[in-house]
Amino acid sequence: MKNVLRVVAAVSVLAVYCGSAFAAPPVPEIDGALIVQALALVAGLGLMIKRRK
Amino acid sequence: MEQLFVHTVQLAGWMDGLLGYQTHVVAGTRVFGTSDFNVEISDACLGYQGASLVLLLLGAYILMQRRQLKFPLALVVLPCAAMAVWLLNSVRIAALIIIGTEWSPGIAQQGFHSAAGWVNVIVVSMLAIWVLGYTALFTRTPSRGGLAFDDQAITLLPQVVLLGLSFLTLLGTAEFDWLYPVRVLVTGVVLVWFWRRFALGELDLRLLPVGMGVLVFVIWIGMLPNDPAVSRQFALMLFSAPVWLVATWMVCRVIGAGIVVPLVEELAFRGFLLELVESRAGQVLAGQTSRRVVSVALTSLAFGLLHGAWLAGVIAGVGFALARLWRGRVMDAVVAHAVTNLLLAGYVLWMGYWSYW
Repeated sequence: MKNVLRVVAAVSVLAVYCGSAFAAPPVPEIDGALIVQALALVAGLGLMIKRRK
Repeated sequence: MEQLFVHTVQLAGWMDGLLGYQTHVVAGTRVFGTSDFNVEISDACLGYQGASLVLLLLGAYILMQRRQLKFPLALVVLPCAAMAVWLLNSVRIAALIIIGTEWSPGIAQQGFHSAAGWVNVIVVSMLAIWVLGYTALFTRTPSRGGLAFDDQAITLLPQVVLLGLSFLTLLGTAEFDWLYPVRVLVTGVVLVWFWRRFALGELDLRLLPVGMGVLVFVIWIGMLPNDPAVSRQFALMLFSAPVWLVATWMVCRVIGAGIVVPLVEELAFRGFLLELVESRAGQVLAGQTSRRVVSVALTSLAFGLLHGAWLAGVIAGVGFALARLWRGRVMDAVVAHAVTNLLLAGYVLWMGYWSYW
């Protein structure tokens, strides 16, 4: 299950990154690395949380 | 697309109406709002990209988990998730209009507009994955004991908290990042609370990590020159605030840069991820050197991407990774990172080169 979550985290990263190509134009003043931050957040949660046995 | 616009503003207008705000669409346009504040809603603001992304994520998850999931019931989550994104997008537009009308057009049009869509996508994705993977309704192997932190991956927690807070504070940000102290304070509390589980060891100052920190600082300011226009604008906004607020913000900014951020990022990148990638690389690469090179390269790339200036970030990541590998102590990477950030903070304050912040 943990491995699956890790794969999901990796796929999330790719999907969000690809999705950014057609996403709304960012606000240049503050957007910065927002897209990468979003995918890092999803990936981090996927890696960090496991099911209790 | 026109129908999507009509339904979105109808729903947003209905929600605003419930709270006592009269909204309207300017005839022949896509301008929507109250008499005091309105926005033009483009195609990109209608939530279909967010729904597409969530469908993509969940589709991949369902495909990988096909042996554990109950079919065709699991597929029901897909339209529900897409609908949830659209509904939350209407909530976002309704909230944006209220924020712009009542509070601050700047926050509505900048931070909130920018962050709320991502918050929607993250929340719906994680909730849908949780529902699919952990509940007896959709999976053949439901969790009986709930969720817990992975013992090794717990070192990612401060980074995840900081990232989450970045989105939440961005929701209430206009031109200037006044909520930075909130991120530092909350992340600092998380660091203290879980400190024993991070097993960072004692602070043992040695010349090499300090020197590496100095080197990364020199490379950073060499690669990224000060932007006078950005610095001017930054100073204008910062010093227009009361003295106590400016002082508080600056103290928190230095503590954040010099202590909190190095701990958070080194625990995540040179602590957990470096070891994870190295152990995974061990499954395909025989030599220890090649495993090290791959793990340093990949984690430094990820570290660079997380920063706006990605190339300088990658180089900094390599420097901090070398400090970590020298004695095998994450604390050495923390020291190198802290030295870089504190030198940069001093440089910013001394020279007035605010664009580095």
